[in-house]
Amino acid sequence: MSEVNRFSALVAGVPLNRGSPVHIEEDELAFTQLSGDQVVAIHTPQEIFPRVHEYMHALHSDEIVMRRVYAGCEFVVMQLAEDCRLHTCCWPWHRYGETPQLIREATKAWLRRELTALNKAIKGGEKVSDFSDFAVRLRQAAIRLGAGINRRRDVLNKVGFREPFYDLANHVLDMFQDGREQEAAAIIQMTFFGPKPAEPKDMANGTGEAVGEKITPYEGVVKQPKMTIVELPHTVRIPEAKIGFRRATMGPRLHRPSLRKPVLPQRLFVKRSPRKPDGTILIDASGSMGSFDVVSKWVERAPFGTVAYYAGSSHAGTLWVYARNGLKAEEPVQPKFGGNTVDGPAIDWLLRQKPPFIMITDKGFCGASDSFAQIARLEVLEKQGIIKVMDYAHDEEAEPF
Amino acid sequence: MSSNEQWDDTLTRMWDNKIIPNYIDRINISGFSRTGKSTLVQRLTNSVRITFHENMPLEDFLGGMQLVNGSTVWVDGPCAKAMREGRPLQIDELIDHQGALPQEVITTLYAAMDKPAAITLPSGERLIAAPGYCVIATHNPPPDRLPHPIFDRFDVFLKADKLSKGMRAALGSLATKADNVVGYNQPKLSWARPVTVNALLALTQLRKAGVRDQDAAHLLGFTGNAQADFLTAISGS
Repeated sequence: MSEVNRFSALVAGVPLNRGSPVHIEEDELAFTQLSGDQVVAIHTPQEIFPRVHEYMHALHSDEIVMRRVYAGCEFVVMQLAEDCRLHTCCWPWHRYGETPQLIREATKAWLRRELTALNKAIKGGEKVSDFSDFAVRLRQAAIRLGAGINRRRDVLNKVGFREPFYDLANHVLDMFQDGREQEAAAIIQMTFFGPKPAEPKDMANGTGEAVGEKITPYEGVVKQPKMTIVELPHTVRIPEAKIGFRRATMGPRLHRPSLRKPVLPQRLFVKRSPRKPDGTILIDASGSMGSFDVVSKWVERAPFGTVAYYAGSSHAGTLWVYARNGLKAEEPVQPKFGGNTVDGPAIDWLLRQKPPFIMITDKGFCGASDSFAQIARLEVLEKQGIIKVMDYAHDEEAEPF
Repeated sequence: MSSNEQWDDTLTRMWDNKIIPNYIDRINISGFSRTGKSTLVQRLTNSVRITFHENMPLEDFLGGMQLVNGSTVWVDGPCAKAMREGRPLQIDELIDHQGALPQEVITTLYAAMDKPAAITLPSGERLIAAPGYCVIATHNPPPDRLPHPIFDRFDVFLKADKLSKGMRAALGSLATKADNVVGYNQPKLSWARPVTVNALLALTQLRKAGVRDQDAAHLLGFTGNAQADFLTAISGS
């Protein structure tokens, strides 16, 4: 069903400077159609809470402003951030307890149903992505807070975040309440999706040309500590770095010993292809690491890989590239400071290197304003199989790559 | 006053608490027949009553010149009487004969429902409604069948979808049986009220009378999703 509500009280509340929208009653669809700062139509299902939600969009959401504020964020992040902003800052009944009972009860019922459905899906083994889980719970928290259903001190436990996303939710919820939605969105984007590829409409000059660059929403929004990258002089050959041979089904040379076998193997030729497992290993060299020998040990185990380590002071940090392409520095430089601080920039650096990626860390990130987000980010990257995370007490026998 | 309260309790409470006529003075009660609408209004408010009928002359409504004791004098009809004495004017069957009412009656009705109500009588007297005057209309069909100028002049809409307490008392042991057949074979009572300036004026008055917005929305004729929509639209103001 899609039917125009000619007697809509909802549109009566939309100020004239926001346009003269039409209210369309739907079965399940809920969205507000915007054109710049003008409201074209409000689509609402037959439930009370989504109607209030869409009304808030009609009053407070502006397409142009949203594009600017949430530049560099995926659409789903933008939606989540805008929803959280509205509910924490723009709930129609400003004071705690003023929400009419009819609306309060309908909102509680809707929230209960959504959370139950999510938990049931997870319990039933359904694959729910980290972002989807986080988004539903964060939105729930924002709604409960704004509608006065739960107090700030109770809301996160009520909604049920698991670590490390609890800490992330706690911080971004504070940001939304403080009117720092741009920062919150940037952090959510970087945690779950990383930098977003630029789209033509993102380009300020509007030429429609996508230059293939990635936009990081952190730019100018979230202050990150400065990290200096030091490429140590790689002058020493790593003894374990040997190129191997492999048998192939074709090639320039026969593997003669195979000719003596009663049954000729399929792989009869020898190809001198470099078998050099490579990739990048990043070591968190903060104080919690323990012995600094671990850096050398990883070079032995991944002789062709890039091995780097980082540490930070109170406001900045350094990343040292100790080994690359079978060569290493004479001695690793022992960091003067034992903090973390630059965990975020270090992970950024890692993701720009050659995969596969390994990070050696105890995930005890701290020292930066977004450390809580970097912990969550690493968790997401690990779950997605992008970075393999090992702690210092790793299995001695395990092959890194 | 709660939106779960029955219509007759709401009317009684509003009258007893002087919300009618001090804050709200245009009340529409529509609903199934034989629910006790007219009887309750008459007994509760001591109203001046008129039942509209087809081709009703203006004199039946407003009054007219009559020969009394050898002199031709103006004699008040129900409308003028209610305005002069400051009593409720009860109009029964308001909708049923809309199509067959003379234009002069309709025009007079507009004036009688204005705020403040005032009419210039054929005698030349300018009659302004005294304090205590209000208009209470009852009818069976849904109120959105009224012409918009009349519909929008009402502040509060009550839906008589159940038997009043008085009717139940009169029915005695048969009240339960009567519950089952209220509205039998009659059109459903579903209609939608648009938000108008008068609805918001009435809301202002209800707020002054201390009525909560949620109950006010119900009194104004907004129910279900429309009630939630109205509450949302007026929030923060």
